[in-house]
Amino acid sequence: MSYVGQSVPRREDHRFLTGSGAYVGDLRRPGMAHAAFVRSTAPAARILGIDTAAAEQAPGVVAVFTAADLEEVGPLPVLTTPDERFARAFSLFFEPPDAPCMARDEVHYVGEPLAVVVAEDRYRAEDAAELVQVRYEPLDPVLDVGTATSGQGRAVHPSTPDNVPLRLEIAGGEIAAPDEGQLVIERRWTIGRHSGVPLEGRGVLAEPIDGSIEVWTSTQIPYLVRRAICRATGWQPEEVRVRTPDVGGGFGPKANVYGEEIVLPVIARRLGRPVAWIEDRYEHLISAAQARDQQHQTRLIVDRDGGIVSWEDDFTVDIGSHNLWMAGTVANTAIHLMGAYRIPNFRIAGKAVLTNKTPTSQYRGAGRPEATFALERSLDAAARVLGISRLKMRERNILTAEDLPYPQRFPYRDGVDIVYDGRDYGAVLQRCQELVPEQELRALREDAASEGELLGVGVATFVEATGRGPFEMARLGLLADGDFEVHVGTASAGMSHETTLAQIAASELGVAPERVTVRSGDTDGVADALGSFASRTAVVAGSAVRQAAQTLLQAAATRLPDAAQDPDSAVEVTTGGLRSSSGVESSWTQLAAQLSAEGSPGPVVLEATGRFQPETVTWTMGAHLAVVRIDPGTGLITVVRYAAADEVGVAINPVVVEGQVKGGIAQGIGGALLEEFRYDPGGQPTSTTLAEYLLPGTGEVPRLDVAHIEVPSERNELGLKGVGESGTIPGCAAIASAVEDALGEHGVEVTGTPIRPSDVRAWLREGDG
Amino acid sequence: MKPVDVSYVRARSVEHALEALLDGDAKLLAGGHSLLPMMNFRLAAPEILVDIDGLVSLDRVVASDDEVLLGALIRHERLVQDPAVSSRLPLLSAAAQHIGHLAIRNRGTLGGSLAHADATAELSAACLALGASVVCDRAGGRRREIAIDDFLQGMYTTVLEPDEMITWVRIPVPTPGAGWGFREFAPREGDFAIAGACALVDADRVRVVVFGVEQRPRAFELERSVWEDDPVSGWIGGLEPFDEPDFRRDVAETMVRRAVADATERTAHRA
Repeated sequence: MSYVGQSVPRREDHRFLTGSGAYVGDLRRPGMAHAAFVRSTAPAARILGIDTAAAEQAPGVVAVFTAADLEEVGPLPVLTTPDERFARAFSLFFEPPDAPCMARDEVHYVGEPLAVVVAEDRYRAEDAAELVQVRYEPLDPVLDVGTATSGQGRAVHPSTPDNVPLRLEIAGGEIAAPDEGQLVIERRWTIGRHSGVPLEGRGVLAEPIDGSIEVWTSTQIPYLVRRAICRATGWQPEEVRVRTPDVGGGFGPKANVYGEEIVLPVIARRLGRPVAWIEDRYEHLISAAQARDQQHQTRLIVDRDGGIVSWEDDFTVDIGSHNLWMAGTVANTAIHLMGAYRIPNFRIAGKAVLTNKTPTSQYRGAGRPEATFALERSLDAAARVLGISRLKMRERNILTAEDLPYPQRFPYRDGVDIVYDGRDYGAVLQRCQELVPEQELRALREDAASEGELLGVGVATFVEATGRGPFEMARLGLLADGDFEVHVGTASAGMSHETTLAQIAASELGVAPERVTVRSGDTDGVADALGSFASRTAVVAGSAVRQAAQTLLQAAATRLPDAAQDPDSAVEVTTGGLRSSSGVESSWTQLAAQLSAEGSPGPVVLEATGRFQPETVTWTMGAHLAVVRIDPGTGLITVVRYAAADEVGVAINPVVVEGQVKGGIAQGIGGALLEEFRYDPGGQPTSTTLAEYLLPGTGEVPRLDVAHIEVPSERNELGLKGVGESGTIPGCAAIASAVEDALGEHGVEVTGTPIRPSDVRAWLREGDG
Repeated sequence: MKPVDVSYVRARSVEHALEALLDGDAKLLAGGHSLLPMMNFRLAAPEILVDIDGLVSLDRVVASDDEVLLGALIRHERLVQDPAVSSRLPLLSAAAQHIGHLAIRNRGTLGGSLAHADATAELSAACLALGASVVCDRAGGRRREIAIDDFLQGMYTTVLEPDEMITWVRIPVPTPGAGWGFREFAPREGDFAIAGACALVDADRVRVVVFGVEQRPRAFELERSVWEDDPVSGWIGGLEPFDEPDFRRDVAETMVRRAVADATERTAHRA
């Protein structure tokens, strides 16, 4: 029977819910020392000197290292380089500056590592870190993209004099002057700087073992961490094993590589003993990768009945002092700016801009929420001027069954021409509306009015490329007791891989999912891998698991008792075993016992590897509807209902899918209303505790209605599409739309996020005044 | 985020705690919900922590018809739950309910909150509205009782001496039939307030305390008849917010109006 499509209870739940998981901070090793980093207190400065003498003499200190002590360590390598065909199509300029593991001559942001103190415990390490004296010669910090690109601002990195390390442009059709009767909507949109803030921060434990080094790190991408360590140090891959224990949330900031992940193994090898560094919350909020922070200058031309004539956007991404994924983030925004609509003429230009702020990377949605915001808000603006409903505006332009599958006029990041492999995006918009019926809206409106509050409804649609390659691998073994173990290279940060990947293998092998143990987060697991990000694990690693299972089945067939007579015997799966075409049956348990008896060594008696390399991405689409209530007396915005309809692929586990979407929506609400990394005019970060960086809690997330229209992907055998990020993507746009609707009679246009109570009050005050 | 070295004394009695306070740079540790984060950030680095968390003699409520005497170690959640408090001082119970989250309310103490004197503290505001006084003890049986209005100075500052400890808080029970209101606005439930207001309304007078706006809570009082002249905008205009002035004034005004409306609704002497 197939377990794909069943809501099998999560294998991980018992461990996580009973507190018996183990994270990097729970790991102990004999002789383990503890590291504390000395971090820059200046956003931009020349380092005149770092005096570590007092720290070295402090009680319990093992050693102190600065960049000068770690000459052999090179910069952090970029994590994605553009495909050539993509680069040509987008006239891409890409010259990323070096990102040092620890600052040497200059500091580039507050929080940048400058030195590391190793001591017998973290307390002593922090005591000594306070004694490290850094002499700075302050430089003018560059804190906004305007200054950075004005020609007046200093270069954040001397190698990038104009502060623009990446630029791209694409156009299609023709942008003509508007005809009479056509409407031109020009706007400037901003999306604030926020990111994933996992329960567990970062953490690294590096342990030298017998000439090699084992690095435990809280990451989504152990293989890319290994690659980065080797690239920066010159070590060979076989010397370095990167592993993850349980990881308490990732969301993208942990699909990044950090200087700490390279410095720790280097100093552990130097010292010949295990060294651990556990990031605290303060460090996390100033030095873990941030995201979003985009500005869009848009120009939308529509005809009298709302049909899109042309769409232009010049956008800038404030990437802080570096972004190892910049080629991905900026490209994602550009690609997804076309949305779910027929857009005959377009011109899109984007650039990454360096500033003296914390580095950025991907965060759930990775450039798409910003694209969605710019396009969807522009449609709302057009609808308002035309006096038509926002739904009608979208219905007029959305891709329907007649249009789909729909080719875009440019390639995806993998160089393959984009074809949206969807069925009917109009139907998704329709389904979303049905989730909050008109009479319920009326009741909500009446409730709000009776309490002197305002109610607003907002809508946004989006498209998302999921399941990108280039590949993932799986290594599946039949164990001596007849159960299975499958290794994958995509590390879980809590995303149910132990359950869902087991469901795929179990379905192929004809056994219950609990007989398949999924192992991930270990660079010894498979030959090579990328990792868990970009809504790709189910699609790419899941397909690799399926291939491994099919290969194992073929291998098993050759070991059946009659295989010698009929070497080409086809094989089919039975409940708990397999049967050859000549009718010979064996349970997996029997076969495992037989292979053990025949002398297969070790716990694994039969093994197969699968590798899946998707031709290209597979597209999902969705529509979200947000209902907000606003208290005019305080400006408080409360999301009271939220509905999401998606065109998804086959759901391996519907409850897991629902959880992914709902968790994503919560983060969308956070970005729309609460979360922002702020900096004061001098470049000091001010969102440095969780009392300042506000995360949504259960009180901020209302009832969520989620519906799926299943359209199996034809780009993989299982029909899968990615779902990890979709919930977050339209949140900012849908909620801003709802806030604007609620404030309709006050003539407010919501052009940026986060939207705070103080903003609402300011708008109302201006209106009242 | 680890504190510097600190010595630790577990107080066996109030007198023991007071004596320990004489030994140099000592700080009292009760619920620890403000002090320990400050120590972890190394914003506070006392040499000695005197742990009074186990002094059950200060975890008592002594209630009469006229006043309620509250031990300094009473947890916020008890102020919410204990009928001896909530029946006599419903304003104080409502204020306590707005403090942080349940886990915080189960640990944080009345004395700790008053001594910390955060500008956004609900209990300081409610005590000011209710006309509370703070009993402070020193080693050797020296005691003084300070009106809360004199006790609170500014942000994180009070008249408490380093060797002094709050032991009791005396709160008069409002006149029978008085109505009360407590309103607070924070971006999320449990956050530090942007602004809040306490109101007490009886047959003759309206008393209002605004908190979270200035360095310390501020009280306003007037004849009930004068309330009809709508003095609120005037009060609010005179406030000097420590941050986001326009926004805090706006929210404070809303909170005052709502708190007074609630109090008027609850009074037995409706106008």
